[in-house]
Amino acid sequence: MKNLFIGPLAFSKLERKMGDVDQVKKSDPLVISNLHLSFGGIQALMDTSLRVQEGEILSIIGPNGAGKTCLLNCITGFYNPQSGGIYFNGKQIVRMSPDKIVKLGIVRTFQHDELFGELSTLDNLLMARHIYSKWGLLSSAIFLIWAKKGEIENRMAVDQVIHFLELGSVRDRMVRSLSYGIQKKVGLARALVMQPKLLLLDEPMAGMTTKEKEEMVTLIMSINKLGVTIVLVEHDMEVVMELSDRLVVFNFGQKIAEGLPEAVVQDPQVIKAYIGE
Amino acid sequence: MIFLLQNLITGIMLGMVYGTLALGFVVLHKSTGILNFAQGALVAIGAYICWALIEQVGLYSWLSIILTLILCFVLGLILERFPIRLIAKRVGGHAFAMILATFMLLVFFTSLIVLIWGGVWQTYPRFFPSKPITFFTLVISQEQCWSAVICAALLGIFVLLFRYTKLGLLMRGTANDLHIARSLGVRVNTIIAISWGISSAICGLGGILLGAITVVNLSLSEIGLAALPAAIVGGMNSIPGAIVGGLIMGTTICIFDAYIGSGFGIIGSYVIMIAVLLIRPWGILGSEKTERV
Amino acid sequence: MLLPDVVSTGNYGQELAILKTNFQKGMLVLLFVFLILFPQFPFVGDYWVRIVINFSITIIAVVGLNILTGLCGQGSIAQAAFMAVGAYLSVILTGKFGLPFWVALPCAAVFAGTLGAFFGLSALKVRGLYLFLVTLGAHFIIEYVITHLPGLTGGQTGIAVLPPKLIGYAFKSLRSYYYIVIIFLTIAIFLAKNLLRTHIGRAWMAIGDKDMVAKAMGINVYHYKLLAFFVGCAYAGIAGSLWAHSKSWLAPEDFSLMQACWFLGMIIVGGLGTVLGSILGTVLLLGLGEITTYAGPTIGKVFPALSMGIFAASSQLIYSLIILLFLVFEPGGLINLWYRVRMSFKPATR
Repeated sequence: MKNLFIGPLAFSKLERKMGDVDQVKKSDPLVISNLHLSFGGIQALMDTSLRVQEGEILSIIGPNGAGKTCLLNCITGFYNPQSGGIYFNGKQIVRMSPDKIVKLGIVRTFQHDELFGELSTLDNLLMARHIYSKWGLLSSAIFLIWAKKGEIENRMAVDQVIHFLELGSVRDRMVRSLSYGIQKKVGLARALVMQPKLLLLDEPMAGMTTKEKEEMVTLIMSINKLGVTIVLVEHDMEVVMELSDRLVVFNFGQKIAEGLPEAVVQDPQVIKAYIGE
Repeated sequence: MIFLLQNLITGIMLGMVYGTLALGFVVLHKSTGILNFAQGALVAIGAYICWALIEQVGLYSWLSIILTLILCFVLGLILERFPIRLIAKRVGGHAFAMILATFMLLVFFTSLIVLIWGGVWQTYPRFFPSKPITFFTLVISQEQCWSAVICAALLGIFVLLFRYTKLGLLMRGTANDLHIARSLGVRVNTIIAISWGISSAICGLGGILLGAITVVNLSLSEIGLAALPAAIVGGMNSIPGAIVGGLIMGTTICIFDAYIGSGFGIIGSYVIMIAVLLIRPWGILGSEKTERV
Repeated sequence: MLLPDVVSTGNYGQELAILKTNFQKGMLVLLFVFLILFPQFPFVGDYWVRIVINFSITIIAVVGLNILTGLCGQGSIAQAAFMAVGAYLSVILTGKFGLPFWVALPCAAVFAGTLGAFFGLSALKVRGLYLFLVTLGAHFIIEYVITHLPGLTGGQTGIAVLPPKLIGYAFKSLRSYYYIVIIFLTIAIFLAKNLLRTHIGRAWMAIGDKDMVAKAMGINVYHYKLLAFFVGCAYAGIAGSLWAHSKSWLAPEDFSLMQACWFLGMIIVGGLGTVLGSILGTVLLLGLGEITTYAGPTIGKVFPALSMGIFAASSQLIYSLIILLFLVFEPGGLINLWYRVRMSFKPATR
């Protein structure tokens, strides 16, 4: 496999250009270059660079507080890094607002508290169809014929995902009453409804039983087979080794290793980060 | 020129009282994160209770004042224990429900006042000497002057309380992070109850002073509410901010009322409040809070 | 990304419909028949027609507030002020500019909505409690402007109102005006129900619950907050306009901060974020108010020691107490109460 580790030098001029960059290929779904993120005195991400390949499953691991979720938040526009660039298919997206980023095809799940508890599974998934509901205030208010057609189409699309993820039995149940594992599945379903090109999963297996994890692994693989590039933040090493094409390790806001899973796991710096303390 | 100075001085005097009322808001907000609209009613209640103690029960002025403060403190404790704590448990998440609850308390107490004492104006007997002080050609009423002095003393006490006493430290800790405070062994419920008590007592004092400066009637509750922009401008999580906000608002209201027209003062204060909210929501001396995703 | 195709369940139409069962449809028809015939019955006095008119107008304002505050979570204490905006604009347009009522009312709605959205612009910088304070300021500013333009609005004393006209027929009588109000009430509820079952209503719901996650759904939160302000305040404008023309004299007292407070209480008591909740909350609180006014003199005879001020004060006392009780015991409102009662009979899921 190609060694795709990009060092800081290669991108030092890139970050100042807006728009398309020729060194950042349009085929690369995600390129992150020299990202710096700090909150007050705390440096959350230091000179972070990363390249995600088309169609792969890339896992990001690291101890808690290493900056993994911060990275996801930067990519999806929730945090604004002080400097650095994030390119999606060659297009600069750093500091773009989250709703615009979703419209480009980058979708994420959250670690906790991501579903609207008082709504049913169906309603939660219908939320995700927002970007495909293009009719306006007036049409909605009088429920004009294309608003009605659009809503039916929304439900059909949502039912497709429900069927794919076998959530039919909980379709009309209030999400708050569902078991934790099923809730996580609904979160994943919601991400799918948005038809992502790049899917960012933030600890999707956290708190799941072994059986639930196996199911999730199968699901993630089948989603990947549909052509979705996946970036996975996870703690469970078994899952990570099984799923990932490549692995990236973070510690204290810095990337300390990147490459094939087997190689990374034996990297002495990685071992020190996890066990050395 | 003299006109301006006169109004400035009145404004500063008034501002001290506003600052005290704003302090009531801030103390509570710092400890509990709640914005207590019922303060307006507490101001009026303080004034009325004191009046009732003097005129209807026949106690000495000084005794009545002290008794009123104690009663207001207790009222604050009761309010915290009953509606507020229960509502906080049910709808802690929805900040707006809590605000509505305090608003309802405001209405409840205002109508209670009408029921008990009727909507008639009342006046206090003279607490302070009635001869106004003249300073060159500026006239300052003794009530305003003494009120300002009392408020300044009170504010000074509070700054010291919050900064140097154990209670102050506990209150600041609880305000900063309730759960951490609790896990450190702080009796959070007691602290919150005390905050409510102190806040109510401050309002009571404000009511008495305002009642002495003007009259004892329901408009006091509106004035109590008018201290809200002062708290916002100064910074809702800053004690010195309350003082600063109060002074700014007091002078602004007086100047506006004098130069533009009566009634514009209050509006002006709200306009300024909106401006501050849009430019720097945490006020002049307040501090920003970051949100975690 | 292509997912395997699925045979749909087919009854999306029914799932989407406002009235799902035949029973509901039947009840609605009955309700309409009753409402239409109501003023025609000779034993129904003017008092009752007035009550239905007042209730209906309040429901319209409360539905609007429930969209803005209950659903979208933007607490607003300015709803009464925006009603005033609609009322005064409508009266000025029909009185001073001679426009017909049917033009003035939509103008009032749009203007009130736009003004609401203008204050809602602050949602870009402030949220939650601080946004609420901006609406408090908005109330005072609007109140000040209205009372200090005596040439235009009659200031504190108020302004005369012309009865609305349609092709020469002046709706002078209360009973004829009743039908106008009922028509607008129906339209207002229909529009609200529709909005709530499309992506717009869902976007508002998401923003009211967790606006960070809403952003992650591709919802432009700021845009939808402005929209909520527009719609909510437009409803207030409609209600205000209808209110103004139901009387012969318009004065600022009708649009007090207290009134806005009661609106907020009504959405809590009824149920946040639902149209039915708005109706229930309004009917309950206003109904209690009417009962108090009705029963007041009788109570006064039984307890002669209580002064005359009791009637005004006691309705306020009761309102605030009821709202407080709901906040403590049933913050989900009557809707939630009904849901819990239903659930206690049915162990199955919703």
